[in-house]
Amino acid sequence: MYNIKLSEIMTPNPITVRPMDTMDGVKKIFDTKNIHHIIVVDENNTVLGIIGKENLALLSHHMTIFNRQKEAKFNDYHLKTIYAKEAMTKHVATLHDTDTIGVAVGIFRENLFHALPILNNEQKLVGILTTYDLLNFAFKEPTL
Amino acid sequence: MNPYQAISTIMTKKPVCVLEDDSCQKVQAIFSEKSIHHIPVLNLNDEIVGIISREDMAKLIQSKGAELDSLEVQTIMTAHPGTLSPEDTIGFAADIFLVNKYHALPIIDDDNRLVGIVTSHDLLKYAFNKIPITETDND
Repeated sequence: MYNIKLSEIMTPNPITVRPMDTMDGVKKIFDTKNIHHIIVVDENNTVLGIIGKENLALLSHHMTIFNRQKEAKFNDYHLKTIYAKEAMTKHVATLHDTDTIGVAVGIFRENLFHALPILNNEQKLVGILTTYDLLNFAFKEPTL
Repeated sequence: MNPYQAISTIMTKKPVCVLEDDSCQKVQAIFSEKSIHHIPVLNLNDEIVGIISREDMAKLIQSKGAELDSLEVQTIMTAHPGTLSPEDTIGFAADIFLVNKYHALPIIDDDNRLVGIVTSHDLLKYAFNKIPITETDND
């Protein structure tokens, strides 16, 4: 099973944002979709970076945890002034859709990654692979 | 791979934990020192009352040292986290992780006392144990 290609288990066509999108839009995506990572791509679908929920949390007012209206307003305004390209993690490791599960697991385990963009042979984004995709593959038969 | 094997066989025993009235500065020091992403939070009876993650701490990144020192863990932890029992199976744990998109779950005994923690990477390691880890030049 380790020789199966990532194109068979990755999540294709993941949600992406552009570098000049603002972080309030990114927050809306995180608030409405059950995902932890959003990939930043240019107009040619070339990967520029990745934004995790932790990247977003780093931008929030430090009193946000108290759920006060004042900090919520501050965050609303503040996030509109920050571009995705400023908040993203750059120089992201990537895998190819022709790489095998064996290669992917080795890299995930070594680096404790939770998500990686998947490229085609033209180096364009075609999917995202997460630990959940790998676990879903390994534990196909539900035991609940 | 045996999905009916007990989760206790792959969990991390005696994980690093903090008390609910410990300061967030202590949590920050632990995250700085150790390569972990989640810390279970206990009360004085050693019962699990919450869990705190790096993401939770990231929300405090702009806080100064004195503020972190005066802020108790219970203020920002996720209270009443999902938990598993040591006897639960690995397959059951995988289902729980996949349905809820958890990254880590505390393992507790019948008295609600912490006995271990299991992460999505523990499950990955178990499911693909024959694959050697691979270093990458990228970050």
